[in-house]
Amino acid sequence: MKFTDQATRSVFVGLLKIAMRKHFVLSVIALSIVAPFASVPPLLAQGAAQNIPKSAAANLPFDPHDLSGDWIGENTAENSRWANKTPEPPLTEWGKQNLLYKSITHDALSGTLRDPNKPPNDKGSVSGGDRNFYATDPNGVPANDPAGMYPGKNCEPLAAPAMFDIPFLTLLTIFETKEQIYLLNNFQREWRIFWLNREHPKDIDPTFEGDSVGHWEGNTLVVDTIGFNGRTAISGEVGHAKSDAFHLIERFTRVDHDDLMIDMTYADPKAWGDKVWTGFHKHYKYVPIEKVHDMTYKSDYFTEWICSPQDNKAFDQRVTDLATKH
Amino acid sequence: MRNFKLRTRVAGSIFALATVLLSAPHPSGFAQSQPASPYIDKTGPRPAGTANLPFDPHDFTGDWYGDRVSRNSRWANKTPEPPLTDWAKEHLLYKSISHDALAGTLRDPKNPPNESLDDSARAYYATDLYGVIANDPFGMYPGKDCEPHAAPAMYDVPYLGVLTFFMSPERIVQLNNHQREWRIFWLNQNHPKEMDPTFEGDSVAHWEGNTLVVDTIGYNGRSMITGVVGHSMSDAFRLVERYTRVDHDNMVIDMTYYDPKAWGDKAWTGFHRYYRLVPIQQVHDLNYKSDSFTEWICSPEDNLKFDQKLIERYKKQ
Repeated sequence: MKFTDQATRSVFVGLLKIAMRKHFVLSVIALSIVAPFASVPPLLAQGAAQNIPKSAAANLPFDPHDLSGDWIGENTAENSRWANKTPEPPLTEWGKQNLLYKSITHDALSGTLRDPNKPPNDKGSVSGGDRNFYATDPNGVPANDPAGMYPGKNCEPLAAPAMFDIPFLTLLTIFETKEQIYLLNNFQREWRIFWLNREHPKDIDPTFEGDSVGHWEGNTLVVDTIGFNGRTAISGEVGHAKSDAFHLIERFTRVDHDDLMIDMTYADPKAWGDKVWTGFHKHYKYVPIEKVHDMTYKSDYFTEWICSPQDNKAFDQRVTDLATKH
Repeated sequence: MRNFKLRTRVAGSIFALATVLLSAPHPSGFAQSQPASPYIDKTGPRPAGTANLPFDPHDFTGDWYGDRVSRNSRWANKTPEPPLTDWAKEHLLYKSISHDALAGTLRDPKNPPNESLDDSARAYYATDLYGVIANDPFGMYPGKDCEPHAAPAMYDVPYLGVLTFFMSPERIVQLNNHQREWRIFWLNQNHPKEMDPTFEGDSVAHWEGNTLVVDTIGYNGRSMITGVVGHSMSDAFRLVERYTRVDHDNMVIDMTYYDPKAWGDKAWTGFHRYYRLVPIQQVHDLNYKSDSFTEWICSPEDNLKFDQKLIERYKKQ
């Protein structure tokens, strides 16, 4: 498959139009499939987050233990899926045998460059104009394959941490009570429940979202998640699934009124033995409620991001047809 | 099957199960082959005396569960559907539905309809009022193939998962744990003049005394009204819900359906759901003990496998 700039742009714009008009949640996933091949798409590069004014509200008083409200990640290099420069720990033999995908749709985090004479360009934007893509990941899994695996494919759940892959697509909404914190991911409409100051149960039935418990360490909420069912991708840029031993540790810190940082560490004894994978960060900006209301009716980023398998199938077919024509 | 459901937590399994239970030639035999009804109330004993505790009628925050009682049945409404317009007959009717219809032609005209919740004892309608075939395992049902339920079909089986509410001065967020859908009720706002149709529609709400009135329009017309009605809603469907917390423990939802394309200027009334508050400690404990409180995510992959398994079983009977 080969895209010319013009062809890629037309595919991209077509997808974007459909995304905007039809509200197909999967269209944007499909969009991100094509995106690595595309030249800079001005509309997406600007992103919804940039429509949110940089207010002086960052200096307003705030309760660091109150994360409730709506948050969106800006389309910046620090929020990119390629932002983490900490290398993945080596896969165990079991991991190589049981977790590797046949291929992934997105560019891999690192591996074999498509053009070995050019350096990788991990600028971090989802727009891929000048990027020299990795043809495979470090374990030889082909990348940039439209038919490959990606988080949420066929409307299967994203789950964390893949749900943070594209933080500028739509909102995270957080509700807090004394006993629980709910994190609603508007993209593909998933939610997670963090039980506060509890232990994980002794027997956990594995689930897509896993079992999460949280506690405060100073002004940082530490969320520990285990009990995944091992059927979801870690991220669109990693060429293998998590195992059912995957263990996610997230540290949420509201650094000022407007800014929320999430630091993540991944452990997976079946995949990486006793090594952990660190260095994952996401940066979210607070969105005032009146802005959420107004943008609900003016921006696709705030609307109904439900994954309809029927729409998804039709759209994927359309994208594949377009891709094979070029 | 029970083990399968417990282990894999396939959200669609209950619908598929209901499909087979209702459509099997000898449903009682099939039902007897199951260890226990999946519909039993697993919430345990109710906390005593809490209904009389003080409460704020404008606060629905928390987790609510609909008991498996007759008044919460899909067949509980006795108000007849308004006559369908010709346009609706042409555009909205399904080929068949998986569940028993609300009313229509009885499979056995000598037996009166029995609209209890005990599926094995029911006398089924072979078709709905418009001749749409009912009890067809290949027929349409809410959430089929993991498509969204949307309201009001999301209330069809209120004892499958909890409803969770979060409230702020500007909005109420309603989480339906069964198939994990959420709705947002914007408080004291008007519907936008222009709206893109969506699965869940656009909901605005206001208080009338102690009743929260939620008005929803802007549906995309691709969802069922309920599993027991043989046609879809149109994109003109309008849902009016009235939520009243009648005491500390109990909430009632009254619903009225409008659909000018389907029913002209007539409304369909008489739909009620009864929910009770589940204390947070019980929610926590039941998270690890009851399928009704766990991760009801609809995985298309699981759903397909499970539907196939049920259909194979059905064919063997």
